[in-house]
Amino acid sequence: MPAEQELLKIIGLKKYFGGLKAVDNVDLSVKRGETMGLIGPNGAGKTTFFNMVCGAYTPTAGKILLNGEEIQGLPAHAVARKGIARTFQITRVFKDMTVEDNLLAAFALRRAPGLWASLGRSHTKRNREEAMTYLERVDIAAFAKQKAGDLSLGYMRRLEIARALALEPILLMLDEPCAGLSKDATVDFMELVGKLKSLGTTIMLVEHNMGVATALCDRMTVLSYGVKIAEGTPQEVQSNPVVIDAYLGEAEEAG
Amino acid sequence: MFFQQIVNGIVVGSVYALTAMGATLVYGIMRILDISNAGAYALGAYISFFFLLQTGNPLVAVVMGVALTAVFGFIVQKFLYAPLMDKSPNVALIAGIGLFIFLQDFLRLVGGPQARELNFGAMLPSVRLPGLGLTLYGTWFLILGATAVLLLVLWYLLNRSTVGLAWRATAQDLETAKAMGINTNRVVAFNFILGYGFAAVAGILVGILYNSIYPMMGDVPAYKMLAVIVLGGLGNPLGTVLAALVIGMAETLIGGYVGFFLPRDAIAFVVLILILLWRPQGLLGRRRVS
Repeated sequence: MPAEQELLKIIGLKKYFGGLKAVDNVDLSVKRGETMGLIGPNGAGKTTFFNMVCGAYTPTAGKILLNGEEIQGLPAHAVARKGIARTFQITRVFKDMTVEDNLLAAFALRRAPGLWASLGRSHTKRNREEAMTYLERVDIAAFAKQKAGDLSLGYMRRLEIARALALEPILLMLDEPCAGLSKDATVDFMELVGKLKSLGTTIMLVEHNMGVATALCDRMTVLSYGVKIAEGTPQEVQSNPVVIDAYLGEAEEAG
Repeated sequence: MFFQQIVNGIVVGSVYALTAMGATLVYGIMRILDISNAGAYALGAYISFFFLLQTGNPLVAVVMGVALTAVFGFIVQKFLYAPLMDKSPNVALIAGIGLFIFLQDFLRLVGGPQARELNFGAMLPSVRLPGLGLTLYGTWFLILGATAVLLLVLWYLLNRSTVGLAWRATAQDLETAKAMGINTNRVVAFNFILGYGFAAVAGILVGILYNSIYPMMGDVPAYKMLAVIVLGGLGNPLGTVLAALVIGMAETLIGGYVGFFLPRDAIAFVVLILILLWRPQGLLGRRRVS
């Protein structure tokens, strides 16, 4: 594939915690506009991998290239400013702030770099109007003045997405966005992700649930015990015997 | 007499609010009780005293006292607290107490053990209102005015400015704030600069009010500040203001009218215990469900 299509390229990424090889020598690339799924059984190293890309963890070795620029080891806030926005597996909205303020926190500071500018007003008309456009995009504009902590879990997830979109990311990273959602909320949420895809957003999705991942992803990478065991379209991956073994093994252990 | 006591209570409460505000800000973000903030309170007063001796200009003295103490706050955060953040909060608490003791002894060695006069008060006129039986001292106007202005500025900064948005985001969830592109290290540094600046203002104003500063002047504020912070709901700036006024008023009125078998400084803690029995989360604290 031509190099310019690759938005994110990861080469030989490793994270060791003492003797534990949580992620070992994983390569991965995400093309512009595609939705890449990162799947695997529990404890496969998905979240560790995810956290390295977001700057929450420093890799033991390896390279992470965003648009050809090395970003591994940068602090999380710097990675966010490079254009990688994330959501968390356990929803982490700012619960004591209003829905609107959650949004403003995502872009007001970027608008006002430097000390003097950051002492200026955060709730300008322009900022508030822009916050509303993001809230409208995920259909929660009606709750703008509510405390974020009072929203239902499904709406908190939407708020998290809106907040991530407000960073104007070039890559949106979702960590198990459907975990804990009801069936209806999951369907709604998948619709939302479909809408984002159609707008051209590049997405990396960590997902434990094979059904959700299959429905949303263009391609998938499968991790097991920290190692990449397969990559391809959902159909290719699902019929891959190595992948079936990894998931079946988990089912047996669980049973 | 009654009005005199009320105004007096508000003045005392204002001073407590300023004194506890620095530590409230630090607690709000770092979740550590910063006892050394009471050391900054004395340090600010002494720096101000030094510049008053050198220049004779009260404005220069106040500005330098606040500015240098704020810089000191930045240094404390960078070299004392930042390296301890991944340890238990008790470690930071003990380090803060250590710094507090160090600061007191440092001031005693440099400035001498005796009390000094921070003599701005005489420059301010008093107003007598015989009809109400009220004397309004110039220092009171200074304290009430400074407190009102500073609290309004703080309210604006925390609730309406961009840096305040970053402050609130960082206070609620450091990791998520980082994921939003907020440089949380800078927010924390800003927090300490502001917190120690507030402590310095409080120390200077108290020095002016009683026309006296001494190395141990941070002792009583150190524990009374804890009472105010806990009563206010731990790390809630508005709660701190409310709690400070409640305690200031209680001390003045109970001490002035009822009389009390314990020392005046004990009243704060009796009030604290009574209110916590009623509201364990503090006046404006959120009930934590674990």
